[in-house]
Order: sequence, then C-alpha cells, then structure tokens
Amino acid sequence: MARYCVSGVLLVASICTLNLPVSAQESAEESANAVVSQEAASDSVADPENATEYVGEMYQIGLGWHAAALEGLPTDKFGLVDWVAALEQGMIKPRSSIDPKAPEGVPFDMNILMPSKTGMIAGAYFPHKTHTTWMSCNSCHIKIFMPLAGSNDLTMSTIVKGQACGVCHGKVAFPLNDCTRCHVSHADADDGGAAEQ
Amino acid sequence: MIKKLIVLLVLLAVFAPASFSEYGDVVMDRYKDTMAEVGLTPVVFPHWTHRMQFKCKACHESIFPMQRGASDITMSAIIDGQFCGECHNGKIAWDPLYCDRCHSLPQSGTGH
Repeated sequence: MARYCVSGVLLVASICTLNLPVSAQESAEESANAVVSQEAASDSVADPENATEYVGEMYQIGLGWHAAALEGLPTDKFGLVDWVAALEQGMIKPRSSIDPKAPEGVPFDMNILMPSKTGMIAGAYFPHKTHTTWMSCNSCHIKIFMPLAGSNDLTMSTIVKGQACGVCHGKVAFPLNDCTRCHVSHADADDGGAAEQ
Repeated sequence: MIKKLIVLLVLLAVFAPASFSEYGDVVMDRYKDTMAEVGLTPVVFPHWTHRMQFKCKACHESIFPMQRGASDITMSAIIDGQFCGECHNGKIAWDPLYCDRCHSLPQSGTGH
C-alpha cells in the first residue's frame, strides 16, 4: 500500500510539472522515481507471477481506488477507464457543450501517420477524429502542435517529459506505456491523411 | 485499546491518500492557506464524473484553459457564475453550498 502513496506523490509531482519549467521540480521527481525503481526491482524479483505485484506506476493506479460512478465502464490493460471504448459502445453520451441546445457538430477527421525515426518500432498513428470528438481544435493548436506537416519534432524523450502528446497522455488520457495504441504497424494504419515528417 | 487506536491511525494515514482521488483528478490548492484558516481543505476536482456527461470541449478552452494555474478560481467568481458556477448555480447543477463535496482533499493527504 505504501507504493500507492509513492505513486500518489509521483502524480502530484507530475501534475505540478505540467506546463511549468521542469528544472525546479526535476530533482524531487527524480528522487521519487528512484524510490519506485528500487521497489520495482525488488518486487519483480519477488513474485513476477502475482498480478497484485505489478511494478508499473499505471498498473498500481489501476489497482487502486476508483470512483463508484465509474464502475461498469470499459477499462484498459491498466484498469483505467477506456473513454474511447465507453463512447463507442454507447455507455456514455457526453455532450459537447453545457448549452443543451448547442449542436453536437461533426468531429474533424484526418489520420496522420508519423514514420518511425529509428526503425525500432512501428510508426505512430494519430487519429484526429478520436481527439476532436472530445476536444476542440484550440485545445492543441497552436499552443502544443503547429498544424503543419513536418513542423512538430516529436520524440518519445520529449513526450515522457510532459511535452507534446505528454501534456495529456499520462495525466488525463491513456498512459504513455500503452505503446501500441499509437505505434501501430504501418499495414494496420489507415493512412487516410497526410503523412507527417 | 491505545495500541488498537495507534494501529487504526497508522492504517488511516497509509490508506487515506490512496483512496480519495481517481486518475485524472485535479487538486486545486492555490488558496490552501486561506482555506485552512476557515477550516477547509483544498479542492479535488473529479474529472471523470464530469467526463461521463460532458466532452472535454464543453469546458475546455472556453471556461477552463487546459493549463494548471491558468484559472484563478475563487468562490466569489463561482457564485458570480464563472468557472464552476457556469453550471453549479442551482439551475443546471447543484449550487455551491455543499463545501465538503469539493473541498475534499484529506488533511494529511497528498491526494493527486
């Protein structure tokens, strides 16, 4: 249970660093990370077969407390709510506006396939529609992403530091260690839009 | 008996921070010092119970920019119909009179 506390502290640290200069928070976060990785090492050796011994931060959060209102909603492999599935399955019907008379509108639909820079992993697939169903354009453009092919230099190392996709993913959207939700194989990707980079 | 109490307190201290907020919740503690003076704890915004009924775009960016610290949310602004008060006005959603529904971060908790 102490691990939940550690993950809680980590999350506070990660929320604090959101959109703030990293330097001030970095050392604290690193030391917290060190604690987790120590535990991770001991746990993974202790009982790798036991599902309650998950060492990853997101698995631990998934095993933790959840609001009763969320019961019955589909979850991802971490035990966190899979909001895209919940919407697609019609389990929730969230409105686009607080004004009940406002029209729902049509989400912008364009898929972007970003080829892998290294070849070690499949390219990343960005479906606009999944995002624009929930969010408005100005949530991301132009504060986070320039809406021009090739103008965003995306790397995992900047994303895990909370930039680009990492502004939401890992904080309020599905975690970054759910790799294959973005890194799909090229053959699977519906390259209906412009390829970027 | 005292031992039992101590065990209970320790258990509470260990469990409380882990059992109050969901992945994606937001802790708002800008005014935690003045809140403490009047016996209130910081606010935990339950993101997901709102997301079940509203898409992100219902509130972002028009009411709340998606940036920590960008909205100076005060009770006077809320009762004036801004921020949470856009809905929590007693007409659309319950009015902002039930302090502990929002000011719910445990005293000792780090929350998240």
